Amino acid sequence: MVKVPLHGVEDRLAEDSRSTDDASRLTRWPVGRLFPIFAIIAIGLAVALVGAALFSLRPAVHPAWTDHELQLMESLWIANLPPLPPDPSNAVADDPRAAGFGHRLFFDPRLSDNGEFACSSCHQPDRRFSDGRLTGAALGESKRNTPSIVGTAYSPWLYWDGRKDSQWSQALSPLEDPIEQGGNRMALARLIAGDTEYRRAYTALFGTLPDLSDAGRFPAEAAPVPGTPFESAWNSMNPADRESVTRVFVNIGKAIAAYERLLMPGPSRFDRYVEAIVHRDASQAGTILSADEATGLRLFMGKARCIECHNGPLLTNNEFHNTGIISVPGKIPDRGRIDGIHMARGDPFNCLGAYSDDPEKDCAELRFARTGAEVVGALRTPSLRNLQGTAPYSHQGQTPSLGEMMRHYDRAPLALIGHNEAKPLGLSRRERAQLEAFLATLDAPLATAPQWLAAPP
Amino acid sequence: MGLAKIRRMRPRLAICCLALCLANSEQAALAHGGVVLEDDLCVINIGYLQAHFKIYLPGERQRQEFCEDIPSTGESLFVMEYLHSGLDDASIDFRVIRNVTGLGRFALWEDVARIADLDEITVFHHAPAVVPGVYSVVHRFDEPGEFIGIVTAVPNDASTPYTAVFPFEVGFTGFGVWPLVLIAIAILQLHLWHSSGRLKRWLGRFRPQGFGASAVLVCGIYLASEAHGNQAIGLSGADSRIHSRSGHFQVSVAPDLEPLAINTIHRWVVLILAADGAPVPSAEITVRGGMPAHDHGLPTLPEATRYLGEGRYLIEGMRFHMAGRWEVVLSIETDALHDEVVIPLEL
Repeated sequence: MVKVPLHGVEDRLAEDSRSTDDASRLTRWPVGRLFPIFAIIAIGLAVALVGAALFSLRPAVHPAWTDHELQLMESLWIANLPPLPPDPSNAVADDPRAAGFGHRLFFDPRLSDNGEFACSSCHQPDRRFSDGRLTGAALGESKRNTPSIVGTAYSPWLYWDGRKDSQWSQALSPLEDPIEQGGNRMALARLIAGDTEYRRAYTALFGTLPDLSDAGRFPAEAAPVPGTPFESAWNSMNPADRESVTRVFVNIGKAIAAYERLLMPGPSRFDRYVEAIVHRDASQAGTILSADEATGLRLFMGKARCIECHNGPLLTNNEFHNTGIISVPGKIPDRGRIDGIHMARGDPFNCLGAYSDDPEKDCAELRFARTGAEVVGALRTPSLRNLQGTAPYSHQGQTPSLGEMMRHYDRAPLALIGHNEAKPLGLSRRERAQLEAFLATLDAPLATAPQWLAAPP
Repeated sequence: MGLAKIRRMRPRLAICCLALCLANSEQAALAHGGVVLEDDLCVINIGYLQAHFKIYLPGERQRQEFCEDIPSTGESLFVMEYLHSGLDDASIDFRVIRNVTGLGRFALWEDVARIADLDEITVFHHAPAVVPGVYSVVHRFDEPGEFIGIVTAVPNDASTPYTAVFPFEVGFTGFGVWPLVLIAIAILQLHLWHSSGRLKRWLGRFRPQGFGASAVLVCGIYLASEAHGNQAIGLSGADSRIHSRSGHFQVSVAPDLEPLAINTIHRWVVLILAADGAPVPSAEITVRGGMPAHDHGLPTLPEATRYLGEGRYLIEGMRFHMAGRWEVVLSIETDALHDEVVIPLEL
């Protein structure tokens, strides 16, 4: 179609409309004048949107690693996990017979007051020795999320607040805690004495059991646990008998710890990637981690600053940090380490106590542990190996998913008590997803032989 | 023409600057942490014992911090972060009563002491307890109203109780952001008047660009004061012999962990020599340190535990828990001298 210019007619029509309709003239005027501005804004927005879309859709590329990054990457490599440090406080820590005995105890529900809860009820092997719950539950509801046991033999401190300084002394707490297994050391000693196999294993490791047959000296049930019926029975016993029963109790913990020392993470996809990189096999490395996962690794070591606390081959410094995780509704924010260190110092089963087998009792971690404002609300850094299937996260299970955790660290909000050490990171949605993808590459079967990962036959 | 344009832009610059100041002050409030003391600290004085005081409404206002009045009912978290170590082993009693004094926020301890039966008007009471580090309690306010908080502390080494009283309102909404909105409207209006020339006519001899200039100046001073952060000190690797700040001592350190690594507790032997090179035998050494780029100190509290002779001292309990730049500061005190030495480390 050809448009014929009809100036005269148009002009006349326009003239008419102007003269007949003042209102239309008023409305047309500003639109006409503002149109270029709108057009520029609209075009600008469209360009920005398309640009942003293209930017976010561009495929990730495999990073070319700097020397510093390679160094950091190797520091996380499981091949660089140092040999398991000795536990001088536990004479049977590395005795295979103790591990076998501890293995039985770990899976034995008779170690609880009602015969239903074993250590493995909450530390479930098929859930990476965690339980998938917000907070642990046995006889009652625990205050905190059940942490994994894997690799804790490397940690100077146990529990989220570090109120225990050895695996064996940690293992004792749930046995008598009324909200966990709720048992008592007298009944536990009787269990060992009454079970032929336990009795044999115990005496081979620790020597003769005390003779508990005198009911006048040894009540059926007794333990120094305030607020339980076991307490008064315990107080009625003479100190030497209490001591001999407590020794049996402590040895149960030491056998369980000998078993727990075997639970170690295995090499994951991430470790195979580092191995390939170390052997300068970039093409193979490219098939092990996707470009997004590798970019997540770069973020982990760089912009996202995760490596500051999640360092070393276990991806934890086993130290205490306040990262501003918000409290559970209706609950006081977790006081964390400030209480943990006081409890550890007052614990009769600590490194300096009479039940430690260490003749030197150096106990530098306990003697020089930090207290004060810096540890208010601080909780122990968990290992990042094997996070899959252990949700929810955080000390009270407040963080339902790793995606939510990435958002939390990205924002680094104020802590309600104490001081959040973390700083906002300025991560994009895509970067958070890449970090999450990287964390999944740390998942791997345990390095522990399969027979240890189920109840003994 | 050019000059006119610049003049017209000035107030706009001033508004931008003001907005920047506001945004910046908000950021400063956000960056405010428990360990760093700042001027806007809400402090409770219990006798001579001081604590940083704050109230949260975690359910409704997440991490927003309130000093006394809280804007709505619901779960409230009271936190006292001790500024005086005397509170660590003091027995603390925390009570909230309905404010029946009729004095509102002017109620004092004397007024509270006159009340015959506190229990009758008590809405929350936490029995005396020794709580080290930080004190926190949760109470759910179901109804708005006027209340009085009473904190009583009995220090470990004293029998006299010290009491702090703070009247507060629950459900107080204040003026919210309205004062800021009004200020912004006023500025916009001034800008309008100024650009239309009316302001100039009204104010006669007053030079309007002065407003912009002074706002720029004020903001400039403000921003400069905000950006007073320390310059990072350039650190070299651990020098074999390091001079103390005032030059009184020369110090060298030998960790028993070679190579120095993170996450491993270990010991140091520190050699302290006087400026003339003679060993310093009876110095009192205190150890502190941290990561200058982070908000934390050492993860442990190391101590000089033994003198090994010939100016050598044993420091136990050293551990580093992150890779990066660390500074270990040894404070050295002899009968005659006191000086500090900073040992830089790259881990």
